[in-house]
Amino acid sequence: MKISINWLKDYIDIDQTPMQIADILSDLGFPTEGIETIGDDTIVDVEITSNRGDCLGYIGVARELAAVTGNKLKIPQVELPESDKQASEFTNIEIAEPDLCHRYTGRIIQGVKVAPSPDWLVNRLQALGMRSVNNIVDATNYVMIETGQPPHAFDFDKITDGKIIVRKAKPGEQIVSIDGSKCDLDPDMLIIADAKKPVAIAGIMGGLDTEVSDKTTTVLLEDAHFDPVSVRTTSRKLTLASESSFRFERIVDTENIDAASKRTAQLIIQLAGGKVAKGVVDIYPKKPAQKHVTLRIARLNKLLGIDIPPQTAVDILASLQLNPKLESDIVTCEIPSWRSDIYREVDLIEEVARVHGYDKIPTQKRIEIEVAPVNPHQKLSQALSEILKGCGFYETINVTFIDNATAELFAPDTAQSISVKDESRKNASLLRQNLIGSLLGVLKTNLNAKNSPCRIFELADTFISHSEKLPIEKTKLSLVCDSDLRDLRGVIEAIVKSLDKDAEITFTPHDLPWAQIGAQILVNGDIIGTAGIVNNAVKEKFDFKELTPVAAELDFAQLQKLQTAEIKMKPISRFPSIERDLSLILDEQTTWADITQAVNKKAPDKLQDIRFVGIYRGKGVPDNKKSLTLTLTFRDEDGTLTHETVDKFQAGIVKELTKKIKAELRTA
Amino acid sequence: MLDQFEKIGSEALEDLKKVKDLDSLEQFRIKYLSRKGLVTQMLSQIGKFPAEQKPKAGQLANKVKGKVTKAFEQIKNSLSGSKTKTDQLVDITLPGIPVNLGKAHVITQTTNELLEIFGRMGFDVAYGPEVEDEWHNFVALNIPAEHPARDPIDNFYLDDETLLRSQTSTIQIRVMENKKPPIRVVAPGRVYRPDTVDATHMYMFHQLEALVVDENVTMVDMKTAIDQFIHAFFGPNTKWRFRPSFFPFTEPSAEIDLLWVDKKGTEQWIEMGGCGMVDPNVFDAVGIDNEKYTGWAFGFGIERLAMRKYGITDIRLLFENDLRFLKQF
Repeated sequence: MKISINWLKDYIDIDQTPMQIADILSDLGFPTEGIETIGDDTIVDVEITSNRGDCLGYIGVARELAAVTGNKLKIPQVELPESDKQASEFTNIEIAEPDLCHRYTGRIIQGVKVAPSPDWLVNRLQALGMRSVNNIVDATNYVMIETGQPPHAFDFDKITDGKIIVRKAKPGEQIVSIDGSKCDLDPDMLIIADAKKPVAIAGIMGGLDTEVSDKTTTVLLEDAHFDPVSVRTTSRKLTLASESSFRFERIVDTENIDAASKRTAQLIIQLAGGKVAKGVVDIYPKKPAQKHVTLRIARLNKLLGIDIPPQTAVDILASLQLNPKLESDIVTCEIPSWRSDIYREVDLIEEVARVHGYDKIPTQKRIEIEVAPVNPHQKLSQALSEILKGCGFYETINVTFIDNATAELFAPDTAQSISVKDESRKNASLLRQNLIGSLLGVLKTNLNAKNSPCRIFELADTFISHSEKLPIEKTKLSLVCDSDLRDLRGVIEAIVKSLDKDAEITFTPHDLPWAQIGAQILVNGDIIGTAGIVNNAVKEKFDFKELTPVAAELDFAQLQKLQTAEIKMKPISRFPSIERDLSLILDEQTTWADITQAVNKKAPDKLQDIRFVGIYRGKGVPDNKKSLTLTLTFRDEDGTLTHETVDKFQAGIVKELTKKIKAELRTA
Repeated sequence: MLDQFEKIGSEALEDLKKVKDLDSLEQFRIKYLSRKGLVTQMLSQIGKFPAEQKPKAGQLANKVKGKVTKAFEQIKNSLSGSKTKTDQLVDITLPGIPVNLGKAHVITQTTNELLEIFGRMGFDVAYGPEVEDEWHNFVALNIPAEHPARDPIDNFYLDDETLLRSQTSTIQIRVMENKKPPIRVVAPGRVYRPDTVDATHMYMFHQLEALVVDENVTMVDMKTAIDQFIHAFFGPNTKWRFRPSFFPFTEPSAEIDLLWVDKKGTEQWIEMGGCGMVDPNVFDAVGIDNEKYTGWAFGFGIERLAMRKYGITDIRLLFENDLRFLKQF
């Protein structure tokens, strides 16, 4: 809210500089958003938190300043000359929705002369960025700024039968608001109607038909309470907001509605002449009871951790007009109507702390701690990040949303997908079931920027709908790179082995919606994820031309299970190993898995390792065949192996390879 | 016999003089120093001497062997050295063979740094689901239906009851529902709020939230812990202040401002995060006795912190994942 310091001086004596005022307000919880000098005035723009609707008027701000500075408050005194004619002879008011409108007052001012406002008023409003309309409307805005209570002036002669009903709109009803927008009303919207039609959208904006114009001679002045949620909901639905709706959304002081109405009427007759009809039509079905809240001094100091003497607390509460009474360390406050935010002991504690000053709460040199164990989720995610860093992978963070077309490439079962309702996410409203799509998009971005090699990953949650209230949310680790599947497999093996060095990793062929060649990754027999080479549909979608990226997605929870393996030291063998290279000529279709299976069948316990060396096709190798070289490592943990023994092992293995997979030994 | 030892020695040294390349050196090695070489054989003959001569013979044999070996090593070094010098110059100005390391995202790096500090301060880490119900996102956090934060326009609702969490405070509730005090946790994570994207706004960002609940926890404790955290993260001379504020889930509440000093030395108060003493209504919601226990909570946005720290001017860069950006941190 923009505060003109000169205007504010109408309500409180100020001997501080505008900067000092800004600092005091900031320390009270109203931070400065900007300071601007206009002529001899300074405009301080302060943020009013949503719980302090009472400070959306200058009197409220003045009260806060008075509490801290002790400067004198100057609340305008209203003495309203009234004519003999009763207001109730003009208008009849009915509240059909007492839950949404706790009070409605109507005053009548006859014989006004609508004219431009005097310069002082125009200037005051303009300094705050408000447009001057005419003396009547300006008077209502002026009092809104002063009190925080937004009044509204109707041209009384346009109100059919002088009747005011606060009700919900009827289906199909419409109104053109003062700003010229045509609003379709619905039965959830609270409106002000006359005998025939809507004349205002309650708390938000008046209707164009009944607005005060040059021809207006009699004004019906509305001052009321409207329910914050109702005002906000309607305002959002109609995308229509105003200074008035902003205040009603933050709760106005129902008790002082009539005072604000009188003040407005006084200003109107001062600016536009005319006579105020006697009294007010005041519909106030449920006047709230006086609120009392107690505060234990012991509790105050227990929560704050400092010693505030009882009398200091009482003085602070008194300075805020909370009418404290101290009795054996218990303070009972009589909460004024404008402080709707105070209803519990802790609210009073905050008031004391705030005015006492948060800076008076000291800090100590050390804290007491209890050592917390390492969190396994945190430990694993940091470990994965470290391994992948070593493998040359960059971590990316992508938004959780994905568009339909991409989502379908990776998870064709759209029945499981979840979307957000928000309008702003029309193009990408689905929550990801799979992270690879996002990563391929990032790969493409980097490819366009000629950033290669490009090895990227993301660790994030995926979402699948579920019959329970919340969807199934699983953390996944996805990897994408611009190399080949063996390279990616090596990275996956590094990850798995780093978590469980003895893990047995197998890739089994598996159909994946996004891959031309896909695999399921099993570790010790459990599926931990999938990997593959992307298919043409995916390539086309992301416009990959020469490049065929590879990708994998691992389940975080499965990786977490691997981490639990206990590590026990094994002695290092003291005996040398013997290595033998075998070059085999094989059918193209024969896989590494076929070879290892055959080898393992005949392998003695002295065979420690079967290592892939390479594949050769060309001179010396018949067509439709390939030559594969592998290294066998033999070692006896209890003694030195002789070459003769290993020769026998090797012969047995070769025989089995010949028998099972028709392998021939390639001679150089 | 001993004369023969001397002879072998002098012959060997003579032969060595004729060695001009590595090939002839290898032949020399085989002739004298290999397992069956003359010098090596000489040592094995010591056993054949009468007992009283053995020490002398051993001494001499070892002396000869030492001499020959030393001379051999010298020639070997000079020959291999000369080879390198003439055939292959080591250009030490050449760049090394590249090792391509990757990197954690700057937001993850920042989060890890934060978790590390809170870890030292005795905080456990907690995580929670990103899709939440209204209970955890609003109701239990003392955000009633009429609060503006509940507005569908300001949240990503999936249906009438569930939404993408708009704050990591949801994790507070989950922790308190499952664990009785004392509680000391820190919870990082993604949060979502519909927002028009620009240089400083994004509809998804990260928050970190700390929560402490115990008997006799005071505002002094909160201020002390935050003070220690700020000094550990931003440096021991960092100035900061508390300013009263309003959050539904804390009372009293405070905004934390840091005095930021840029490279030119210009000072500016910037909002760092919010905190406060846990509201009694929140304790009621999770079934913790709000008379016996008190607590504090502290939360802030990670992007804003990282952007400030590294001088990142556009939040969108963080989610574009261009390697030229990611490599910088």
